[in-house]
Amino acid sequence: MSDTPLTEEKINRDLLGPLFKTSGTYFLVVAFLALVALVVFVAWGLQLRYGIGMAGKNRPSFWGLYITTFVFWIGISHAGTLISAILRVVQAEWRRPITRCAEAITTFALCTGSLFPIIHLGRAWLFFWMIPYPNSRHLWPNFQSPLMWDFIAINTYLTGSVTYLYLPMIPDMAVARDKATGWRKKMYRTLALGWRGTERQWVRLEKAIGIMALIIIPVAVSVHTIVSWDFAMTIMPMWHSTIFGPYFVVGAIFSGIAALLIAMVMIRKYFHLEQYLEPIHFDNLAKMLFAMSLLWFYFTFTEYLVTWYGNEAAEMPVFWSKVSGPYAPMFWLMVACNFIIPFPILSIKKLRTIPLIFFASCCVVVGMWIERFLIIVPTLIHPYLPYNYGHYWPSVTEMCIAGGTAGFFILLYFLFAKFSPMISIWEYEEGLQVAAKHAGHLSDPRFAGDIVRGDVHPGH
Amino acid sequence: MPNTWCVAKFAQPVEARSAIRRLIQSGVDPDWMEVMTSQPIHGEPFLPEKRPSKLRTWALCGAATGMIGGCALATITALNYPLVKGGMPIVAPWTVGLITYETTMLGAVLATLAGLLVELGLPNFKSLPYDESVVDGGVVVAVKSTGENRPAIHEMVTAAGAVKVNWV
Amino acid sequence: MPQWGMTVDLDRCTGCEACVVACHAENNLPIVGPDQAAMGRTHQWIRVERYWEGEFPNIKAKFMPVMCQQCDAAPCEPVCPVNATYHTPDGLNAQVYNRCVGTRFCANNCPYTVRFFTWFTPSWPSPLNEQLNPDVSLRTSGIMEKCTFCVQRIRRAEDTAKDEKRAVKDGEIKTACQQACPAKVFVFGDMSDPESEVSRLAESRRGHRLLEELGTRPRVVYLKEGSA
Repeated sequence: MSDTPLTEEKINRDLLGPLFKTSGTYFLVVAFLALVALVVFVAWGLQLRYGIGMAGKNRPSFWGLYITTFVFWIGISHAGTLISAILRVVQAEWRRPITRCAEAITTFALCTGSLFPIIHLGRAWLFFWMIPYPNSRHLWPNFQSPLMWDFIAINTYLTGSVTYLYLPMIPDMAVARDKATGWRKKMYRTLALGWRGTERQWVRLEKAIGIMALIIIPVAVSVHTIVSWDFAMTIMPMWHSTIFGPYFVVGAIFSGIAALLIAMVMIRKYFHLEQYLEPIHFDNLAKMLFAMSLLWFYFTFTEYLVTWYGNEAAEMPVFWSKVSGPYAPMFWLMVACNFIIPFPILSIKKLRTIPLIFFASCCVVVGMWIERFLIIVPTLIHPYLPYNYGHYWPSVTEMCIAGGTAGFFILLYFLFAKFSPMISIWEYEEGLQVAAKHAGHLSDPRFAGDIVRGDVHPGH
Repeated sequence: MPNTWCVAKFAQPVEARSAIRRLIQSGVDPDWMEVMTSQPIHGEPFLPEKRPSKLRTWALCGAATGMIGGCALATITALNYPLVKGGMPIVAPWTVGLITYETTMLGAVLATLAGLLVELGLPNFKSLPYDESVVDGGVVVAVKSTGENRPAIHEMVTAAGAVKVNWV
Repeated sequence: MPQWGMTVDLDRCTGCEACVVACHAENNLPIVGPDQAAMGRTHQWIRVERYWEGEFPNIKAKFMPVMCQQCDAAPCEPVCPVNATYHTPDGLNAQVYNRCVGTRFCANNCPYTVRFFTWFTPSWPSPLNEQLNPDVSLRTSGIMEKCTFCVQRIRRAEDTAKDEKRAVKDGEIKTACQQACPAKVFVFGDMSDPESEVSRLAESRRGHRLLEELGTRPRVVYLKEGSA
């Protein structure tokens, strides 16, 4: 199957296949994920009914698993922007089969992460007070609060990513519309908005996508910087650090690429897209993951060295609790997952195989969640006045909600994979066109802009 | 009037280009032609672009609107109900700046989207000339005929190598 | 405009915690029960921190009552997204119960850890519900609270003084902790009035503020042990 030549017809068949054919296993997996998502909402319902005390938070650890997981998901959402936007801007051709999966991760990670600012509220039913709307009491939200910056930034990023996901999807919706029958045809007809692929339309679409790519990059950087400022703007020991902005952005891109690699490995395997998602794509992303792992280590090392060297009375209890105290096992596990394990796997070419990359990515995702937890909890339980030191252990409700959102995210992603091709058809075909031109196949000016057919393989 | 559009499918862009050349030479107005493909074709444009895209202007206007809106939102809401918080000024320039930055980007995003939909004329569900098989490859050229040049157009596209010609 | 402040004389404090009990009674503080207390969810708007100094047998216990410092540059105020906490013109750090949505950001930013959150809606089994103070609202779950310098007493005294067409006299307002303390540890009053007792004590050489180096500008002045 992998040797069949890539004609447009074959590409359409391969990439649209999952949209029209569904196996029984898929239904089972979706049912399981829906159950997990249901657990989230049931647990949340109990929390709303009986009070936020159902979560394990206390004084002084007023934040815990919910904010950890919130920052984690917003971090994961940085995958799409990096891959799609930056690679598009620098015109790296190998991004083409990856953009759709990446942009989908961004959108759904944001949707999942955005639940948490509402879930963790004491009076969640009043969350809309954070929306600036005119009211009879002349009350407005407080724009000096980092949480309001979060609100505005995440909404901007969500709007931007949904747009950035949808715009390149329009021509693919048109392909699906032309191939579908029955109720699906009606659905894709609406979503394709009447796209016909005229030259005028292509020029404008590509221009719009180019503008979006340029906008979305600074937005993504600002979003996770602002999320990091939820901590850095406080004066708590080991939170009040100017490095948090870049540290979190790097960590976000790091965990985002790892999540993307995990998604790509699974899409490649279960949708049989070995011809499209080739080892070179995983290799390139793995190298980027390696670079991010080094950067993450650099920032973490800097943060801890500066703290240790400064030896401030308020900060040292937090530091020691992580490095050699009760949180030491988690801390060193994090270092292993984020740096020690990925380092050989991602740096040595022989070890950069798809299964090992998958393993390294899973380690990174786990390690990054632990990193968020270790940023939040040890600081909170070691406040300035030592009489108030505390302890924190998540409750069952909290673990169900925080852990269950993983199921919620994967469910959204699975549903999306049935609804849109996971590889952007037109971008992939355009890539073949560009590759053929470079291969000299079209040195004859009469064939300028010819579409590749037949026996040319997309080997870059 | 029915049957005014000739929808011709070509296997390769070079054939489509030659057909378009002939049609233009024979006096057909380029504004009465459309070229449809399943992917953007690099190289020379098939048809001359009469009106350049103004998407960048849309984006900049949206950014400006967002900037003014965000600045106003942060400043006016702070002054409307002045509360001293943490010894900070009522209107803190840093935070107004941050909010303004985000709303600028939001304005640019929404304006780009709106501008694109306006310039593309989408959503448009009217039945316009189209050939569903273009998604499997090839180039579709649609020509609007006045009625009299119908046989001429048909002859020209067939001579250029059209694999399928429909009249809608 | 009076600027309310308080001095706490650490030389006098015996650690009896009468102030804690009085504060509980005055401000309708919930009793959370042993399980919740073990989780660290007690409410103690004023607490007596106890530190041990030295090694046995030369060991000393030091007591420090800590309540909301009503900081002029309060780190808790700017971080509330819904403006539920702000600084009043008379110098109090106000907590608006009905505006609080419970993000708990303010509590995270307080270096004195003086903010308390109501995790479950409290209940007082009969007849304890009959000893609640009608001047102080009851807080449901999801709301942040803290010491208010007994603002209900301040407002009541100001209202009475206005009715009687006079200014509030120094010493007329006694916070609950001040009223209950047998050792006269607390002195509350108007710090903008140089003649008031609290101003004189605050100016003394024994006066210092807690975590002053953080720049929070607290309004509670602690009087060091030992002579001036």
